[in-house]
Amino acid sequence: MYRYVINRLLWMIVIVLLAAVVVFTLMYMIPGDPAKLMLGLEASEEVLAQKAHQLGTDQPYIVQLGNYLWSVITLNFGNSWKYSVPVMQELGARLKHTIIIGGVGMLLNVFIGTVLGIFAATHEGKWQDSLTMVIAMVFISAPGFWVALMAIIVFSSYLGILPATFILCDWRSYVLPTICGALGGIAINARQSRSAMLEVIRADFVTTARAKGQREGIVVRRHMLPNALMPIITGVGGGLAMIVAGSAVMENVFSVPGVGQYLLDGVNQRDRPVVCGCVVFFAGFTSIAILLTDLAYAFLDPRIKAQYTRRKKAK
Amino acid sequence: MSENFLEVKDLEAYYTQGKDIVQAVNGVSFSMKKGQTLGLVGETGAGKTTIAKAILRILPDIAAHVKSGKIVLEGEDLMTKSEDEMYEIRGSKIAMIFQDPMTALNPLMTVGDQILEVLLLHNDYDKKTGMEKAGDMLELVGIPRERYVEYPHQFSGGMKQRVVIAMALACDPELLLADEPTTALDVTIQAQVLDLIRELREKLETSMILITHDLGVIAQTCNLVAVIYAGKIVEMGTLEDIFDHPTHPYTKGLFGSLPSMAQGEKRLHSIPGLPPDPTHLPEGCAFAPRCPHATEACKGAIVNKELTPGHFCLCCGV
Repeated sequence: MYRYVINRLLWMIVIVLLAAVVVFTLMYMIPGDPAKLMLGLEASEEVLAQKAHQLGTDQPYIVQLGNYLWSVITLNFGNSWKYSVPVMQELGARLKHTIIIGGVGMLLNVFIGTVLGIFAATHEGKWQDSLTMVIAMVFISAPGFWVALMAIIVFSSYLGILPATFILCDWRSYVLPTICGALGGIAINARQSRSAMLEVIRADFVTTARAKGQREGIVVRRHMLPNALMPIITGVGGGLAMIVAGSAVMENVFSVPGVGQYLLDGVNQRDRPVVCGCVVFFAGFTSIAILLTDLAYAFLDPRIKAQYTRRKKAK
Repeated sequence: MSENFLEVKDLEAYYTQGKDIVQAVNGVSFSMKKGQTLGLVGETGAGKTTIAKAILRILPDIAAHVKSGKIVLEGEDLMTKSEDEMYEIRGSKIAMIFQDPMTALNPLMTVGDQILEVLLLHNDYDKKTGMEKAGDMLELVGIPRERYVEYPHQFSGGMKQRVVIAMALACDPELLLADEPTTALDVTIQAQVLDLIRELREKLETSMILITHDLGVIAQTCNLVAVIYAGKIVEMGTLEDIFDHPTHPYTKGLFGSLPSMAQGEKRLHSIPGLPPDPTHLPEGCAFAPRCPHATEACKGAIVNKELTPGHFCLCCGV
């Protein structure tokens, strides 16, 4: 098992480096001289050349790429071209907001979404089921930014109880972005866990548990839910990966100074170190999320765990 | 003991399938005394499993309904019990062995814990005693107790069925419902499992309803036999009644379809036609369309005739 994890971690490094190569190359190929973008059109040739030399953009592609990969390996993503602040430092400062919004949203997703799904599945065909699924469908279909705007109209303009834009050091600023960001995921998870529960609800071993005289509530918790958890975890794992990558929309609407916003600004300003830094960070985060998902499978299902250990023996 | 241990009266159950109503069980009545084994024989879809699940009241809520009928166990009507009272009865007084051992066990729980679950539900053991007892049950069905911590996927089909049997017998049930306990197993394992069930049943003096479509299994294990066709018992009697004097044309057809070694026949006999569509049962006798002796009278009401004491036949031709 440990061997499997180490193996996966090594592959993760390879994947992150590949992502770095791809994003670096894309940023390199974007037309426009970075020095010119930064200094404006009126800058003299001499100043531009000096700037290009300072940024390292006058060197051949392969040298620049090599330098960049080295900076990724040493976990030092360089300085932002625009603000001359180390990308790593800025990421660290901004991560807090993204993690609070995404993490709490994730918890809401896991608990509310799964509970709603179980609720709908155990009331299959009744009005409770239809109502839950209709509401879920609405939030899956409605674009996140639109939901966020509606929430601002209701809670900020009309009721005036929650701020519409981010205020530092005020916990209420997190409420709307967290909830609005989580709604879509909750709705998807509710539908997914409903169908996963319906898969097992008529399974023979559930009938067995009932025939033992087990109470319905415990049958659901001990026999149905663990067996329905695989697809739910797949969804939640995907959601975990989306925490950072999907944060841009909500951060943009509510002007939260988070990681997603940082990436957007970086793209708008052709700030190559920022964009590359963010994307490499996202890639690492996503890989870890997927690894955690796979480990959760093994933890839950002895059959999958057996596969991992068998693979270890074979080597 | 003249009192009947189990009495089922006019049991009717149906499934809803979209707009169609599947009449799975249409007025089944039978009774058995303590310690007896009743065999329910019939083709797939005849309603055998539905009868067993109706007795335990574990038919799926929305899709299936018990329309009417009485199920009286030791003088108490199970149909009028509350769900809480049923929790007490299931697993302890009445236990069930399921058809497919591959799917009857929870894949994420160790087999020992699955036996432990039923033990703790119906006894006041602490966990340690319970685990000890669950280990005993494993040994009783011929599985070493060290395998307590293993998961169902680490067992073969026959071994899994033993675990299912251990689970069913863990709380010394008075009535055992065995739903095709050997169908999913190969022949050598079938014999072992049947022997095991018979042995344990004699040891624990359990009554049993054995559901099967295998007449050989019935002959080996049962005292009473009920032949089921399209949700009705068409013939019922003691093992001798049914095997030595089969009367209903369907029963005769079943025996006729057994291959005979003595005559060295090349082709298997079969009953022509298919069982009727349970959403649209024919009027009168459901078997009439396939019956070689059918007459106009078969479309009318059919009376259950008692041929000899305890031997009933539902046919207008006898």
